[in-house]
Amino acid sequence: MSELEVRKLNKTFGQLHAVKDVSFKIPEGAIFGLIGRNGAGKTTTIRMMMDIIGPDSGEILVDGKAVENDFRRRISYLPEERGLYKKMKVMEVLNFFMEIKGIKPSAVKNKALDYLDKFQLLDRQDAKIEDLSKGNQQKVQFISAILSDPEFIILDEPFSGLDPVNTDILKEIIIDLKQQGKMIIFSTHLMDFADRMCDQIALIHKGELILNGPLQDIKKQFSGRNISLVYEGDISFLSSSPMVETVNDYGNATGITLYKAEDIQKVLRLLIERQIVIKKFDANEISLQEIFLKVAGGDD
Amino acid sequence: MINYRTKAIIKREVIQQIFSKRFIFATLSLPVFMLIVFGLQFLFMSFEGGGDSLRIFAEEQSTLDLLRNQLNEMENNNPADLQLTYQRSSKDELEVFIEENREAILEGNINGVLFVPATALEDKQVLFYSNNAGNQILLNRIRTLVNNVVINAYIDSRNIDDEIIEFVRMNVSIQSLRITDTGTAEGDASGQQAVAIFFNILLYISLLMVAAPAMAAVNEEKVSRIVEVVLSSVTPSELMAGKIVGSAIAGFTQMFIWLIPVVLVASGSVPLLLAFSDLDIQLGFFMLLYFLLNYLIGVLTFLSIFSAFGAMFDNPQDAQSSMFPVMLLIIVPFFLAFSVVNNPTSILGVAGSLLPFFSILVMPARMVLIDVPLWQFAMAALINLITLYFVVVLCGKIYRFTILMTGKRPSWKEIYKWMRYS
Repeated sequence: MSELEVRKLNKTFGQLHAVKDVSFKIPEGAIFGLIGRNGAGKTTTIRMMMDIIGPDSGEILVDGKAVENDFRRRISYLPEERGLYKKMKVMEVLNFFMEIKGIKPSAVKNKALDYLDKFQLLDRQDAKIEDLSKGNQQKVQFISAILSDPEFIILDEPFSGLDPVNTDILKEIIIDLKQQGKMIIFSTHLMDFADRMCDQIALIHKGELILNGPLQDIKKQFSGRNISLVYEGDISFLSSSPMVETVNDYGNATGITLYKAEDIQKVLRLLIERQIVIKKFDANEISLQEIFLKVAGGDD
Repeated sequence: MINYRTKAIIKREVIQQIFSKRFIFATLSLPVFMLIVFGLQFLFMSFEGGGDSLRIFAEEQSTLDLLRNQLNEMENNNPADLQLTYQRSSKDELEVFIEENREAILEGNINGVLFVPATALEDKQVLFYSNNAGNQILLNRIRTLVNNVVINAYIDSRNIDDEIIEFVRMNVSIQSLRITDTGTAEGDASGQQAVAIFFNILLYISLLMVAAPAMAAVNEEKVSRIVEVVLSSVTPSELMAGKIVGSAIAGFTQMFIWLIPVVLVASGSVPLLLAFSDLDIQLGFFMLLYFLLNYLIGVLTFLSIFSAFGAMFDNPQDAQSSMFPVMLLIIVPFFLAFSVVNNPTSILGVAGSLLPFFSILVMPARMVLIDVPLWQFAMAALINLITLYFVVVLCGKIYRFTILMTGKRPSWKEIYKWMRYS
């Protein structure tokens, strides 16, 4: 088990400074969320972490030492846009990805069959990739990413395109991998998944790291003036209240940010006076989505 | 350079290509196709004008006998070729015959009626009646014979010595002798010319058949994002090297298989097919070795270029439409090699066999026709290797720089910049 560190990474494409001085540390065994809007610089950061492209400056460290050639053996990557050799059969694809990791396919055959079984693909092991549905292709690709037993697993939008049943199976496997001590790095713009699964996050916006650290610490930092409310009734009056800074209303659930933390009790009183049915009132809760919108949602 | 990751990619490429239906079909069908083409050519040559029915008329019996002898002799050499009938007749009788057989002539049952009047010994004028007066194939075949008959009849009428007649009738025969390093070899050059043409076609077809699909495969990997997954385990250089070496091995295997029939024919190990029965083919071990090594260098060179083009573009259409200048590096030498077959010692031939890219197609065509000096072989090989080195370095840069790049189609200026700075 190891700690992974990204230190002062910079990458420029022509006039575009895609990644600016990005630094973060991922402790061993963590599920880490690299979040940001489309084009924020997440994929470029990941590509530099994978040594697919070289940084203009900065470095990637494992346990304080610069990564060496064998790092590629220790890391696996599931990119957002899936791609497999369509003419190859499922087992051939898995074997190929093991061979480029320097692993004999025979050594992981049983494990491959176990994963295929878990994903209900055992009967398709001799099928060509082009004959599988998109969802099944995605599952094969996920298996190819974890079959080599990597220490570090980078998953770029792993749940997109999966049905609820397969999403659940994938979540279970990810939690299982975490329990085995693997470091899992999510790159996503779906805050809901990141919120529920990540221990640590780094938020990149326009190439710059603007938030970084344990998710709970970040939430604490933002939740002091925040209320998470589940309700029935009309709360439109809150928007015009001088105590309220923002309201992110979703119909029967909302996140409310106040100007002053001392006004929380006054807002609760106000809601009761207006006969709003309060199902949940959490003064210390803020979703990652709300944090994201606060820090990265304002400008384009 | 060739580590376990590159080996895995080479293995995948070789297996995927060699066991593909396209590869198996092309490997087996090309020799068969070429045999069919040569065979058909032979067949058409054998049967051109065949089955013609020709009626021969002459006013003089002696002329008719001479015609019969000459034409029978020709018939003995080419059996079942012409159906001939002979008849002595006057001009008037001939006209009656034509009138009575007009329908048969028009329907093609009688292909021609040849009439040699007595006056032919003075003015060499004979008449030929046919529904197709432009039947040049038939006319050409009988023109020389009739000319000989008329000359013979004329000479007979002048009591000239038979020896003189025989000499006059004899055509000049030019015996082609080839000067080699070791001496003088007898033989017809047409066998070597056929091999030169065959080598040229093989190189042209194979270079395109191996390099173009490699470009499509690289481009597909880029478009479908497979490359991103693979690059998490291998470096771009390893991926490119693996793909190129894998495709080159597949191409080399195919070329080796294609050469087997040529080698068997050249060594006389198999009875020659009808079409090649008169061809004298001489292929030494050095020639074959040079041909294969030259092919290997060539295929690696063009695979590098085509792979870089596959990496540069976001879709196959853009990649293919930008390939034209590179295709010229195969097409122009291909046509130059054809001209070299007719004159392998020309300045153009020598220059072509020593120029980068051109040498790959031109030198094999030259070397089977003449004894190319050793220094030229060495120079060509060195030039090809240096070309390969620079192509690999430059295309490797382009590949590494562009394989993950998406967006607008790159301009030639940008491509030049990548080569300089990446």
